[in-house]
Amino acid sequence: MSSTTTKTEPREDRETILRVEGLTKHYSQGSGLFDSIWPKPKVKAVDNVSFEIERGETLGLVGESGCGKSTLARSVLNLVEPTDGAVYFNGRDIANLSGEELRQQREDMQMIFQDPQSSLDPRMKVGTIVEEPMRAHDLYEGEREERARELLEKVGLDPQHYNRYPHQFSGGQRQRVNLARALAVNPDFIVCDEPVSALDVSIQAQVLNTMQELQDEFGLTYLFIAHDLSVIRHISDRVAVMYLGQMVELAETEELYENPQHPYTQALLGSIPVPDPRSKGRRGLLEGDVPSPINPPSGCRFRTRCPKLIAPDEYDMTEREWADVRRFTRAVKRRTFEVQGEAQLRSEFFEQGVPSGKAGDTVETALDSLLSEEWDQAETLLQESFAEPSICAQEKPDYTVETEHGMDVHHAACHLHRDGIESTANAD
Amino acid sequence: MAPDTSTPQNIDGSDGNAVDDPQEDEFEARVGLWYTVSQIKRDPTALAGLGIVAVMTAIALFAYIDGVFLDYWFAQTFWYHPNRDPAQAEILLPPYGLTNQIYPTEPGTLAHPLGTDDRGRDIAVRLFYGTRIAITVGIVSTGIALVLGTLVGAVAGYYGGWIDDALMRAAETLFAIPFLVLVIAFMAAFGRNLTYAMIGVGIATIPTFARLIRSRVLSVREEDYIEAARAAGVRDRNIILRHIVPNSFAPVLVQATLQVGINILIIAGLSFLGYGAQPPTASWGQMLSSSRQYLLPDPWFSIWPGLAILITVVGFNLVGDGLRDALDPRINN
Amino acid sequence: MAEPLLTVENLQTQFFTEEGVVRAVDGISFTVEEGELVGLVGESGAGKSVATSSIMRLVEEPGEVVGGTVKYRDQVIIDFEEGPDGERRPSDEMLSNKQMRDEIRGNEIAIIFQDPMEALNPVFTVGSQLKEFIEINRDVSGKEAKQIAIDMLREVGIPEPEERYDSYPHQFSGGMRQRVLIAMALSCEPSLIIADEPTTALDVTVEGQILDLVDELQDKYGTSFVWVTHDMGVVAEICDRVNVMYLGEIIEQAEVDDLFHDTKHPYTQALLKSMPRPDETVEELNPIKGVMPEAINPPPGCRFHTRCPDAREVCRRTRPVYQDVSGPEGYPHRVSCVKYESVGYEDSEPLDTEATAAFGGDIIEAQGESNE
Repeated sequence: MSSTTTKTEPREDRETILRVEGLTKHYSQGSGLFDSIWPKPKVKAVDNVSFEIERGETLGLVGESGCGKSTLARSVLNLVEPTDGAVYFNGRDIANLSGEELRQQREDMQMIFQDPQSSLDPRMKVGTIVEEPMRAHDLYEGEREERARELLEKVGLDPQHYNRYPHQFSGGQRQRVNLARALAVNPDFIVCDEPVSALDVSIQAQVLNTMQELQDEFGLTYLFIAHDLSVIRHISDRVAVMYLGQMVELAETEELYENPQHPYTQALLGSIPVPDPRSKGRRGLLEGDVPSPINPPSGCRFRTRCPKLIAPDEYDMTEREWADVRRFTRAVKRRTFEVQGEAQLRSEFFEQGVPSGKAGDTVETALDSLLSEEWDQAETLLQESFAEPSICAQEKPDYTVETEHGMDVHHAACHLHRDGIESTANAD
Repeated sequence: MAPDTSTPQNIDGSDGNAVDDPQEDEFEARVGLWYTVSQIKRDPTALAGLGIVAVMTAIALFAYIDGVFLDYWFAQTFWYHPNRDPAQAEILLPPYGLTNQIYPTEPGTLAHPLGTDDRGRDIAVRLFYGTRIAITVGIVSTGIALVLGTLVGAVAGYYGGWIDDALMRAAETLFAIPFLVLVIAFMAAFGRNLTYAMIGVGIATIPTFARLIRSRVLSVREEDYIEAARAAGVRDRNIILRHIVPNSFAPVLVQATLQVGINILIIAGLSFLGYGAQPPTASWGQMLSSSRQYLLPDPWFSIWPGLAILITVVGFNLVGDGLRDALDPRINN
Repeated sequence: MAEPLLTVENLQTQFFTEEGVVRAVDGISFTVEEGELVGLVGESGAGKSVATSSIMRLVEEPGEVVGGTVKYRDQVIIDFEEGPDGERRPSDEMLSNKQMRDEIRGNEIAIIFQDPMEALNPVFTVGSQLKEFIEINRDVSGKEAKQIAIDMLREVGIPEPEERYDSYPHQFSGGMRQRVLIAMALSCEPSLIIADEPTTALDVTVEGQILDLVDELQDKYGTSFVWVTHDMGVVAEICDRVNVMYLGEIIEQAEVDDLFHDTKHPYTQALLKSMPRPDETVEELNPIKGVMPEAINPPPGCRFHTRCPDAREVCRRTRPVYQDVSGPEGYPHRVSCVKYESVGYEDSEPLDTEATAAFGGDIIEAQGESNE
């Protein structure tokens, strides 16, 4: 029996099960008395994220650690209270629910966690664990044990394991217990937070297959979070990419992997080690570290590392000149080099000569500052002249681009796609 | 769905392990009461402690039954020979015996193996009935602190925020007042007797338990299974009672065992100061207290009750230490 | 061919536990040539990490290296001989513990761990830890050591090394901490670096940066690497030769291209087939059945036969020989599978692994080493 994945199913009668609008979560650091008098700056973990999920589909959410994908998952379920925004689940806004109403709402939406070790109470038998959601929602009174055993069998365990403790299972099996618990109250929607990233490759495949079979059988909708792009590609119908609390790209899986339109997605895809020695990938495509979410860059948050940062309109530079200036600006900001004399500086950054005109003058001034060890001055000047005036720093991007694969909408939050602009990027 | 899909062959959880599926009972669960007991069994000092506590508790229980239902039959039969001195039977017996002018201040005879005190009361008999008070007092006062402290600590730790602030600051205020002053003030307000001593000591030790469990709860709260329970829609009350408390309880249990010993000492101390059991009640602390004047000439007045307190406290401490080791998963592997 | 840098022959490490003897590493052999990057791949519990700590003689109680030979250039790290009563004892040629500390560890062979946060002490500055390490392993003054430390930090791409020298580990990002560990490993100019899952805890873009750095440094210093990982993607990217481990044994060894494109062992084949690909859409994954058995009670015959899609009756009885199956030219391609022997595999009854796979009900034993 080959399980048909939802990927190939027709998607005519679309029904939105979850709609997220402008979801924002800012964490305050510390909650004590003093922190409320002198508040510390907030961590902007998720900032103004919107998307929709249709019934029966799997939306993959991918991003690096610290990008806010787990916070997003928890905000969607209102496990952490969103700072702003709305989450419509079957048409009802659950972002503002609380207390008993929220608790009852959880019957239709469940979650699976990353760590199979810590997501099961070590002092409870797996039977009790699976029955707990039923008990919480007063469902299946009198037939809970029977149902729990049935579910254990469904997820590929032995129903006789009902009386065992979590530590008696391997990681993959514990993740199956997690699945059984999530299915206990027959939910419509399951948020899966890195459900297979703690498992070995061969076990990963087993659990992924089971998840797909269960999805087909029960018509489940998944929000599937992972940092592993291979896993996301395998399981998702559509994929959303997050960077530093914001969504940078959203498209159908095939479209996103074959026709990525955001420079971050391109870098991410380019960095994955491919299990084939003959396809030498490009790696290390990004420099520097992810900026702090306390004070994220203005406009496009990826602009400080973006290899395709757009030159400010006021300058007239060739692509190569702009590439040199961009590299120089960032190197000064990150202090990645030592000044050993003017000749060395010029040959390191401007082998083909400093650009002419206004840009050139600025660069010369910055070089002079560096030679007199005035790093801060050079940095400020370069940032103010080249980084800040760029459209990437001025406006938050949000564009829809042409879809090449499939028919779904392709969102890419990158100013390269605003109308009428010629790409100044170092084209591949 | 078709029956044959109910166990999908491809589901691959399948284990192709040739080893037969092992029997359930081959596996020892590493949680639960029996596992803890089996761990303690490997630890001789903890076993000794458990033995002391068991013997003391048995004596206390027996003394209680004997005193209330059997009209001090035990003491009359074994420490007092009615044939020899029927007329003095009553006055030998606590709590109403006051003096026995016939045998005052004996260091130890066949009839009175641990001797008699200045009023001629049999020390062994008084120790026997004193066990009842010592054990009751230790367990009840600790019980009060344990229940209330666990509740306060678990709620404070689980909810955090202003609830945490309010509860823990209150607990710290309690902590800031010197312990004995607090208990004595409490008894001055409500009355000088053993019941208030127990309640007072219990309340005064609430912060110890609250702080201990709160610190555990703070880490347990971050475990994924708590979030999983919340995500599943389990009520807060059930999360606290079924997940938070059982998983935070180990150090509290250890502390409670140690605290029983400490509280026995404290209440003996209070009795010594005149704030616990009132004479003529036979309590160990009160016996020590009344032996003050005879410390040098008649040391057995104080040696025996002192020894009884020592043994009992050491017993509880050994159990506490043993429990700590048995419940610590790091040692268990 | 020149003398290999590191030779491991029939290395055996066992753990003596209450439940019995765990044969964590059971007779593995491989070599590392000068300037080569050799991969050691396997799932958790395969014995990869035990193998590397055995080579460094860092196995802790209740584990013990019980047999085999490890040679580093002409120095004997591990060797056993038969004593007068027939018992096995370390031979005289073996380096003493002091020699291991003074001459081998850090100086000749350095190690990089998976979790950079755990490998650095949080209460000391990064610079002071690096400096201390250099002072211990190289005969230099404190001032020189500091200079070397700063130079190494710059070498591995840490911005403003003079200022960052005084930062604490928590002030570094994960990728930066891993760079510090690489700096530490390189600072004593070792000839061999053992990297134990060094990029597993890192994000993919950071992993890319680190792999680039390793490439660069390898070109510059000619350092050899033993790269322990479970990620076939990383193996394909950087390794020259690969050893695949399963349940304490190396079951296949080949040059990286051969391993992926001329795969011999069914386990390696199954592993490659069970992975989702980043570069193509795979409709359905073919997972390997079941879980790896415990090393305390390995299956008889071929250890993989319980999960092997090609298993036949003979696999249950015959212990496969680890042999070279490559042609006369080219690098040896070793594999241990009875398919490549003449022990009657063709005529043997296929084992029905599907039938025994009723459910994923295989319980792990209480000691479950990899799960705790």
